[in-house]
Amino acid sequence: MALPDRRRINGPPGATAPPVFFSQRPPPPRLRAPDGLRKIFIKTSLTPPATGSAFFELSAPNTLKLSASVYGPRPLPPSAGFSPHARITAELKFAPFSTEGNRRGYVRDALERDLSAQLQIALASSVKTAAYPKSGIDVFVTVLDCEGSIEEGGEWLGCMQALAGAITCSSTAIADAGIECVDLVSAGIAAAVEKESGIELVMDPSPLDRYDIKAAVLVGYMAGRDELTLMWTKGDLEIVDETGKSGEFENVVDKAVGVATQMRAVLNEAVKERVVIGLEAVEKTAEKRKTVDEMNG
Amino acid sequence: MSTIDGSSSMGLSFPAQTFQKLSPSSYLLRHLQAKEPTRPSARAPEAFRSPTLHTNALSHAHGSAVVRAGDTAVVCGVRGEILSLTLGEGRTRGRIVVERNDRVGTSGEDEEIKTHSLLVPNLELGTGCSRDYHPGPPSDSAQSVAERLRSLLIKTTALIPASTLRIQDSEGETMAYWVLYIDVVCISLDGNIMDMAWASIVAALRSTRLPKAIWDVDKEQVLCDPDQMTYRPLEMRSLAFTASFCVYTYEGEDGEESWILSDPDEFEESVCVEKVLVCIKEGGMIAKIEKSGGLTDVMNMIPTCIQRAKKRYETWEMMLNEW
Repeated sequence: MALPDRRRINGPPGATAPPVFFSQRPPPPRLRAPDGLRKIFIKTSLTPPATGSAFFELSAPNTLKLSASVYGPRPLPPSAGFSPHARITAELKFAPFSTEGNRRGYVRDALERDLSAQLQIALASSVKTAAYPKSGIDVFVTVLDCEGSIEEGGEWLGCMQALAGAITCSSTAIADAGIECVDLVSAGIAAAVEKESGIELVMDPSPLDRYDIKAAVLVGYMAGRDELTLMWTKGDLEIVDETGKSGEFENVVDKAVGVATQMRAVLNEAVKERVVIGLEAVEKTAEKRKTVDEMNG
Repeated sequence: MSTIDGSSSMGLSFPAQTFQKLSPSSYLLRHLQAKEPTRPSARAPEAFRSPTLHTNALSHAHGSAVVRAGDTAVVCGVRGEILSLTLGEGRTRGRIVVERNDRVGTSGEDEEIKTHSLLVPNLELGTGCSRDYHPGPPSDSAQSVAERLRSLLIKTTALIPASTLRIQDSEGETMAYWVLYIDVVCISLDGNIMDMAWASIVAALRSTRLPKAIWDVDKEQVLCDPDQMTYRPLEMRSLAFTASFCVYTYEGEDGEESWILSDPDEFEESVCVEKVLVCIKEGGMIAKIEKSGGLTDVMNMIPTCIQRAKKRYETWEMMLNEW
């Protein structure tokens, strides 16, 4: 906290530190099957002022929670100049209370800008931007609670998980907004972890599982078209093994795509739920109008 | 949302929503002048939106609350960090000595909160919660809401006594303080951010559990007990809740008519100029009354607001005690 932010209420001028405990007993690693995914809940339209919105949450004991809202297509300012395609912007922000360790400030830092850029890349190819010239589509994601730590030094799995949740949630929000899409994007993560028995491939690893991760891959996947919009890898993976066949890399990517496909099922359910509610509302107003007309003769 | 069905009952040739956009003031007036005064959201003028509360939903915060009423939703997280009173290293290491006025009354204690900024409330509206607020530095209106919340917390209600934030050694001397960072993030905004943000702050502080902190003489630092069973709640002075209103005035041929609307939503806030806020403490005591804009007769209007605010306090208190 070098310079106090003049526009916010600041803490004491001397630095404060998170509490230090006299004995660190980390919680025991959770045992989940390597192919077991964590349960996710997605709810749409929880932010009525926005054109579309979605809330993404992992069920207990996992704690990732984030909220996405989409505004658009809305006109670009005249200073922006003519653009035949819609301009998609994405902003991701961690709430100050969302992370372990130091409290995050309100000013965007490099990590959030990086994740925002990746989010924009993942979503941009899924939207039919040619259908909305001279328009802007804005996606805002707020991460309310991260699972585990997200500090860059070695704890990047937390960042990846937040980004994966953000991609799936934003795509749901875009669908909730009624924006024309080529397909919806869901994200999945898979990792190659070191165990006593050797290297094992794990689907949907969580920072709380405390695996010894050799490498991990995050994919943004459009299940309908079988296309990837984003791939982010960390760690060393072989592309081709000694015999010349495809190595670990392709296997891990396949696993990640498998996770993304299962996420897509939940995404579809969330979007369908909203469509069904909308159709029922339309039916109700049609019936009401019919009875009013009948009464008026 | 509107119960007035389409155009036929109003004698318009276009839908009600277009009327709302073309002439928002007349749209609201038509609703209020109906036989049974109502609002576009189908609420009665004296009706507040009923709130729901979830506490302790966040894993990295010492206390948290999610409050939702109608289409407005806020999340408040409270994190405690430690402010050590020993600064510097080596030769420049020195202690800050706290001199307390041990006067009877609360004003002596709360000087510590002001001097050291032990309570740090903040409000974030740039989360895509509404069309008007964009990510980035807070606008002037956002900063003013944050400052009003801080003033309510520290001056008006003095909710948290400094004694609950002190970390003392075995001789009772204060060696360090807990600093509470109270961050309110708005997820969805449909008017009346003040009431929701304040209620979420009170609920989050109520649910806060801080670790037991001990001053370690050898290491000269504060160490905490990781056992969650030793975490303690905060001491709080009396509960307090706010109620916001906006007043709509119409100058007709028969004179002036005015309506007091409880818990205004975004549309009503944009149409009405006059706003009132009443803060009620335990026992029905009035802690603060704020009024801005408009020229309505205060003597007739404020008692109604106070009555409604007292009832609203009971709703909030009941909701909080259920948790």
